Amino acid sequence: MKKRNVFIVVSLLTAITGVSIEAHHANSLYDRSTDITISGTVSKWQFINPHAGLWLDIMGENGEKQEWSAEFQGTLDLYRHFKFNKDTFKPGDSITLIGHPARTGGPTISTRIVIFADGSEVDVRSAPD
Amino acid sequence: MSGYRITAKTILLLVGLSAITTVFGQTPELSGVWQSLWGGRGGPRYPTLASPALVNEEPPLTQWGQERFALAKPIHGANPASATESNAAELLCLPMGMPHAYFRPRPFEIIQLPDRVVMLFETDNFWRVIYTDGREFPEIPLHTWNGYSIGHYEGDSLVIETRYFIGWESEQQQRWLDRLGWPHSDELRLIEKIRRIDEQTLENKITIDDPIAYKTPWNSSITFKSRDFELAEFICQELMLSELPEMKPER
Repeated sequence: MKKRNVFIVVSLLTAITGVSIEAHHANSLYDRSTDITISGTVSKWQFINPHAGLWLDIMGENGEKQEWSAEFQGTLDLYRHFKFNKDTFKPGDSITLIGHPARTGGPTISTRIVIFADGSEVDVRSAPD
Repeated sequence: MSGYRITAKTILLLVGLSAITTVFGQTPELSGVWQSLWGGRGGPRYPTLASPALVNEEPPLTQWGQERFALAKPIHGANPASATESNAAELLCLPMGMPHAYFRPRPFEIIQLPDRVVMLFETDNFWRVIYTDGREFPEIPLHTWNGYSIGHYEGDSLVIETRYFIGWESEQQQRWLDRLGWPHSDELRLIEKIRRIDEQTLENKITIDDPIAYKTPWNSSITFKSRDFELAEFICQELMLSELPEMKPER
């Protein structure tokens, strides 16, 4: 598990149909045409509205620690569809996130997929009808 | 035998009246939790009151309406503004008002009581009362974000009329009918006709009658799906606690 690199996988995901985000930010700071993947250790989980936030400490290739933030949808979609709550992430948890990067290149993403330490995945944008 | 005839007629009349009362006096069952359809839930990317997908032509704005629509900076639509540029009231956690709140992806609950219908909206934790006891609008209006609503049942529908909204005030104090920024004045009269089109689907046919903002009344509609979950707390002001970069716009 020493590979806590920021491995940025840019994939052209043009087919983002069926997205059920609350869309507070249609023209937001996130580039919704691409995805990146980040892995690290949870430092904070803000389970609030209108958007929950997760913070990860990530080790760069040069060994420098960098803090990234990840935006989620609001608490009630996360709770109703995925059973997330205030205890879903704890400081120290190893987590991988896939999501849209900030247009500015800053250390923040809009989360699409969560991969937990046990390998289980949750596509947090897939709210069942 | 004339007494018998009168009795028979009377009985027939009573049976007839009873039948009419049964047919027309039944209250349609509209109670439950409902939610508009958004992208991932089988609906449009985001439902709006006026868009080419819903109506064939643009709302008939007056000059007053055009001037104000031009000042709207919504975060959706053809030319969306960023969250920092937008003057959408919702970004300040101000109420959306009616019918804007229907066009959010958050659910609401209808509770039917003998003399009123209560709507509980998860968005902003607001409630709305529609009086069905036959009262008139108050003579001295109290203008509010959601207006004053009276209603009655017509067959399978609940018909609601709402007046006394707080209208458009300024570039920074916008009042919109939906998230695309269609303005309304305090003369807005909102008519809704709500019915179940099947067990799982609720339809609301909406008429916008606002002679200040629109040359003629115009119509739209929105449908909602039945939900089997409970409403829960949604506090928009938690925004102020967020440490996410986009939740901290520079104003």
